[in-house]
Amino acid sequence: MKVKFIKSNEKRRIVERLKESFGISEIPGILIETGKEKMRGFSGSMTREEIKELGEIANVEIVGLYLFKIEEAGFRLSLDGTHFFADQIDKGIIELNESELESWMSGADLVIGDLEFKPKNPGDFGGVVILKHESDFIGCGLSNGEKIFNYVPKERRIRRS
Amino acid sequence: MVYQMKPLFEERMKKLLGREEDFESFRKIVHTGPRNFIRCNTLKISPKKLLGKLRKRWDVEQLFKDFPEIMLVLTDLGPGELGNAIEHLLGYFYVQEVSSMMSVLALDPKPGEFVLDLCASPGSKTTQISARMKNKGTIIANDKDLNRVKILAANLERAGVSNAIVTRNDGVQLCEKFAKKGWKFDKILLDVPCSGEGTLRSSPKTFLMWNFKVVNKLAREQKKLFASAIKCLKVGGEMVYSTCTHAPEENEEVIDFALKNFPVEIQRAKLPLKCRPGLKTWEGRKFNEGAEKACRIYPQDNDSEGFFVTKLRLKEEVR
Repeated sequence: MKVKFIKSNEKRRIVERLKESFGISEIPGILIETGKEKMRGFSGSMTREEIKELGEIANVEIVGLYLFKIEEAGFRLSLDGTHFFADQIDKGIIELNESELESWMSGADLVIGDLEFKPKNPGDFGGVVILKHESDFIGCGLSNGEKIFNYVPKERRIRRS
Repeated sequence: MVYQMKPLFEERMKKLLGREEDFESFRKIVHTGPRNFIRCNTLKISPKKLLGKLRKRWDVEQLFKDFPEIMLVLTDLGPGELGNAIEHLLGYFYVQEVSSMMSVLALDPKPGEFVLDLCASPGSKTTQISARMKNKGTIIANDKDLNRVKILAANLERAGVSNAIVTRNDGVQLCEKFAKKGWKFDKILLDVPCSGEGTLRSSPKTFLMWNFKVVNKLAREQKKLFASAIKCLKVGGEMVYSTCTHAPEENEEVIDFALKNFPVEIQRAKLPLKCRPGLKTWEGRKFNEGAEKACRIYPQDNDSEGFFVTKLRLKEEVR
């Protein structure tokens, strides 16, 4: 596994952008880039040097938790990334009702005009948005102003029999 | 389809259980389906909040006051219903048989510790370890097969585990390398590949697949894994050796091997299920008396699957 440790000044820049988009002001632990712009967070006690040494001893497949991918449209947080940052996210949120939650978790795209939720600021509906039902974060999606395209991974969707 | 026990397996279980009525209880229960146990993933949600959500559609109860995360769904469920629940997809609970939760309760990992889970896939116990560590400290979660590592990785993601590093190596070789480099762990979970005699309720095909030659082959591999893993445990550190089988060759015989060859002592684990003591003898072989402190979990005692759990402490450096 190719691992690139994100240096503190780069991490600071990422956090600034995360704060702007979602209100996230801190990424606890070590931030690691694996693959194209894919970021993982490691909250363990091992240092970067120890992780590097481990890579010489063992076939390291995965370090920490997949948090987000940096895309042109913004930060695409993983479903578990929205849980990881749940205490901090306070911006860019679209709230879904029970039936919208079911549709979203089944993998459907959502038509913004049909949603029960009406934002105070219509600008919240552009780019990457975070979905929430009551107190549960349920990942993020990409909005073009009319539709929110579904990012829920196939293996995490409700299966219809 | 109802599978029957192979004659040799039946003979061994009769010998193991002793009393005819005990064997009959065993025979009866292994032909019934398993109960629906789940474990609340406290990395993402509290047991109280999860109960509130699940009780809107199911009858759910907490079994143990000291372990509120362990829950039993009493409602009759359709196939795949637990796995398809939104709370499961969000990683709020893990479907795990109660007896398999005992290994981690015995290990009792704490936040900040350095833990090795040597045969980690599919990850039920790794996620349980991480939850008890509150995502603090480090877990090295290893498995040797790429497909199994993929399953492990998917389960760790769903559970929101951020303090684990997943490695793909042969367990024996990995531990030899750790020992050579002087890497030592506070705690090690050695939940070894086994013949699966304890999983008859959830996996009835084990009735057909059971084979005594496999039991002996696995016992040899388990001893090798133990002999390597113990070298990377800190002095005073603790290891849990567990299997989901009843076969003494894979259980007390391995513990006997450990006690005779390494400076370890058995610690009695306080577990919330009924445990029977480890065997003193089997097929004319006398085991070290420490093996008696092991915990044998039988399905007929707890309406669960079968399991074997032993907690060991390293007293001095292994040379």
